[in-house]
Amino acid sequence: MTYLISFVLIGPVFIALLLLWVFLSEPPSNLGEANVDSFLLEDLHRPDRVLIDRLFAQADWDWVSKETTAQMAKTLLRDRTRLAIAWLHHTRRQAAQLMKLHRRMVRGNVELKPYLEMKLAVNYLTFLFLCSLLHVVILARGPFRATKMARYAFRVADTMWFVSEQALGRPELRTE
Amino acid sequence: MAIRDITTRTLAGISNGFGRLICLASTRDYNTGQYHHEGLVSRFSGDVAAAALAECHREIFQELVQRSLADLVAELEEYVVSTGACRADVVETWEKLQPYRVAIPMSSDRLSAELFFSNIRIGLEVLRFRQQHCSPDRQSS
Repeated sequence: MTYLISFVLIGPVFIALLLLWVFLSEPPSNLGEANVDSFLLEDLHRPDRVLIDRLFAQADWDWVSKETTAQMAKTLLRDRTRLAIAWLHHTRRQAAQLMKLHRRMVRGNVELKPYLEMKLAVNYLTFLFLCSLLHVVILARGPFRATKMARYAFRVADTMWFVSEQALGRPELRTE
Repeated sequence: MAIRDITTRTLAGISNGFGRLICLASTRDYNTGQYHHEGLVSRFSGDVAAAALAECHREIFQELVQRSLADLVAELEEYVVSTGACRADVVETWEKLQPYRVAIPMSSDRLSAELFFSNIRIGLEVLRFRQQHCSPDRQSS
């Protein structure tokens, strides 16, 4: 009975995940598949931890607040908010591109590992959720108060890259 | 080999990060983006010399992007002093002409470049602010 209940609960969640995956996918383009793959691969960059640490650096904010004027602190906050949002959009686009490439490559893969595919899907959805949350936090509280969340989003994105590479046995993608 | 040559000869006398960045950017043609250095070409082939210059340029830029704002401002101040020109004039020229925009490597990604520009803009404001509050008269160095 307990098994039946767990299947009834897990089933709709799994279907919802698959539907979400289908809805998030973009229509196929007219380009040849091989060309698209090489184009996507060329344009893909693994997220860069160093850049995140700098963009969201609390130390920069503390230094400017302590050493300079309120006007300069305001300028820093405005600039970093703009850059943090740009980073968020960029990383989100890159993750979407990774998933697109992954789906294309999976089609021809006979040694598909369902566990890794599920892990990747869950990671992607977690990442999308984190991005939306991070967007709100950055706008509401500024990037310097979102450092931990940004690092967490980076870790989730990095895991996505790792799982995708593992699932397809693909060589490591370039680092930004 | 060529990279070592650049660091031990061309950049040996320049300890400041901004100085190194400007020096390497100045070896690049504004129109074609190709790097050229007479001394290096005499020791290596043109392509090897250009690739080595591009790599050194990229490395120095990344090094500067990764600096904290406090470190970057200290570095910028040191560079301004090293020019030997009037501090206020250098800061004003950098603010108006923004020469640092053409000093970045072509391979740099947009976000790193924007972060670098933003940090320098703030750095210049800090230098102007310090100048106004520390010494009202113009200084030569």
